[in-house]
Amino acid sequence: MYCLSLLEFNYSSIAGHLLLKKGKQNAMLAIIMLQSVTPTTYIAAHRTDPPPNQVITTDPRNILLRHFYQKSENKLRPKRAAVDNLAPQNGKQPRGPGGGSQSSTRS
Amino acid sequence: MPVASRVPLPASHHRFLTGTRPPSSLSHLTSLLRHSHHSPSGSPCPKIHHHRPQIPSPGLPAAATPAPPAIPQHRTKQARLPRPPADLLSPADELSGARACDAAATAVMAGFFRTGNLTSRVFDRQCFSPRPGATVNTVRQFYENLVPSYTIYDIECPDYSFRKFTDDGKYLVAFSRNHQDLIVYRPIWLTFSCNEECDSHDLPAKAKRFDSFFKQLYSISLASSNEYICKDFFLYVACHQYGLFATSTAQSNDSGASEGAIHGVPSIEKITFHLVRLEDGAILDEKAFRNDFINLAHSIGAYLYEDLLCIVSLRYQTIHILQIRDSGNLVEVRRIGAFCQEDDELYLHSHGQVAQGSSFLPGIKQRLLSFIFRKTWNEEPDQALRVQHLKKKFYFHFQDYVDLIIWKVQFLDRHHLFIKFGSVDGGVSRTTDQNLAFFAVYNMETTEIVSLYQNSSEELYSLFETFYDHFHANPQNSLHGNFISSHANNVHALDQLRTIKNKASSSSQFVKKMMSPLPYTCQSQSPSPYFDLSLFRYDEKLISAADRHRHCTEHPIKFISVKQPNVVKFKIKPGSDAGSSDGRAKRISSFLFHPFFPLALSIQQTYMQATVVNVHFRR
Repeated sequence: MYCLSLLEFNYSSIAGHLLLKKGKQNAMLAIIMLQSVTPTTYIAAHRTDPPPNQVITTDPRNILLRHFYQKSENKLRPKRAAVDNLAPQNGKQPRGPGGGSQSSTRS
Repeated sequence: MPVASRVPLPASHHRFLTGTRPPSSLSHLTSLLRHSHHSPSGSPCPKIHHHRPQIPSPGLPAAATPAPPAIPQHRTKQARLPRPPADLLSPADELSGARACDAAATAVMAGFFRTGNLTSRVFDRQCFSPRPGATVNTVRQFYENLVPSYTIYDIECPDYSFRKFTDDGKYLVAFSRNHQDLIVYRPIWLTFSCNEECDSHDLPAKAKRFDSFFKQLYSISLASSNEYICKDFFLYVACHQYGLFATSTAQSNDSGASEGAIHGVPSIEKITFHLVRLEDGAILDEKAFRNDFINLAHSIGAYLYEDLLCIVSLRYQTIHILQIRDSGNLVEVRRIGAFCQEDDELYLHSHGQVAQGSSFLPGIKQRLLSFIFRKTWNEEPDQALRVQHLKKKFYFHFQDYVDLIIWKVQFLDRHHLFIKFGSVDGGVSRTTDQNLAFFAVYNMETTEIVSLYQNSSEELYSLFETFYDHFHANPQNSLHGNFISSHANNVHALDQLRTIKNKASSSSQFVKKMMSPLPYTCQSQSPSPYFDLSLFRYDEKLISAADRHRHCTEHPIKFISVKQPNVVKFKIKPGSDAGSSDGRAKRISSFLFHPFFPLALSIQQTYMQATVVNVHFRR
């Protein structure tokens, strides 16, 4: 009921406004057009069903813990990819402690 | 069928709502209708939803209405009543409409409320809904208007040491001077009646009593003859209204070496934790630790998370996890230290290898060392250099790692602990920032260490800066407890932090200093909205949310409004009205703020003189 009242209010105020400014004919034309136009509905062209075995769960860990786990997984995962990059430098000095700002080393 | 009630709107609202510029295009009309579905029936004011952009509905015949104008981009992201197309307005109308539109936008932009006037704010609260999820922050702005500006100096009160208001505001906890009794008050508000003509400027003398504000509920004796209540220790279980107190016998520094105890840590003959139902003073349960040492100052040695309590025994290097049952019993559910899993001890005994002395390192130490080993192992991808790397990083420091002890523990959630490890000499006293320390995240269920950081780690600092609130998030916090200002939830606090960071000479020293409060001390900050940094500015050295004793100054402590930078909203002056004649005596003051009433106590203690208690409230 409230939305109806808003609609009437708007129509009347639009009509009143148009009447004052632009004359009677334009006001009537505007009201007729506003009342006859209905918005079209959108129908999807593809299937919108979710995948059959989809289960959405909430991660019980809070975001701080997720960051801790993520960072530690990154560190504990052995760096296989880096071996290829380091191959040409094998004969030179080994990786020093300078690259270990993120590791728990004694300063 | 609900009937729309007619409430006379203030004139300014009328113009704002009905407007001189009605929405004229159908797209805006349909979006307004969509919003109107959410408003409660009976309210004549359309709710203005600040965050929803106006989505033009597709499929309109282009010839019917002129193309809808772009939503005017205000400086805040608020969707407003749209401006009508140009051909419907005369030029003069458009200008005045634009000016009115911008003026209203500026006012709303300055805050949710348009003015500082209390009545106008109440009207605004009727008509506008706050941003989604920001209801408490918005409503808190009323605390700018309701401030504890009136002070009763040197109120006559019993000679107790007042400890704290509970976080739900129902009790005030105090201890007797001989540290053996617990006295609990209920905060009430003053009421008085006058027979003769009351002075409108001042309260009658009979109203200015301690009893007007606090009603004593009971006084019980917690400590027996040779024990003393630890004045600094108090934890509150809000859901059941239980209070946890600690009594201890005198501390003896000559600790005889006993099995499992580490050297360098003093010993206390008996520490007892009492669980008291604050409603009626019934002592529900007690848990005693003998010949042990638990850091009781400021509740550092214990952490409460929902119904789990972790107590760190420094002497035996054990973390006791206790559960507070609904019935009021304290039940030990886990003991982490020598053994991590519950059946470790049984397993080792059954395999007959623990017979001779302590050949095994404690369980948690083993987890720590294995984690460091695996991390160091994975750092070096080259197999040939791996052993060298291990020698340098791990075996060289092996004994130092073994000598680390647990200093402090907190819960991150029900299964994860955040443990601070350090060297023996720094553990007992208030630590300096220079000592080396490690922070570990330990999963109690899998008994694995998830991650380990040094206390100067930039990575941990970045997590600290962004997610600081998760270090003390407690789902059972009272409504106000979740809104304690910190640099993670308040832009002013973040500015202060950034300023300190930019001024810091050494980055690692700065990080160590910032990390020193971690792990967080449970219930150490007052949830009072008067400490909210988005509402008030105050001198953090003189007063802050953390309940610590501070040095007194002669001048009152000013609370300045953030929105109006020159307006002092209220002042807190500890000590007597006339000031103290003796400027040399050492005076310390402490402040107790009620969680949500405009009521505060300031307690000034002077060496060898009487304690002065002031009551600050809103008259």
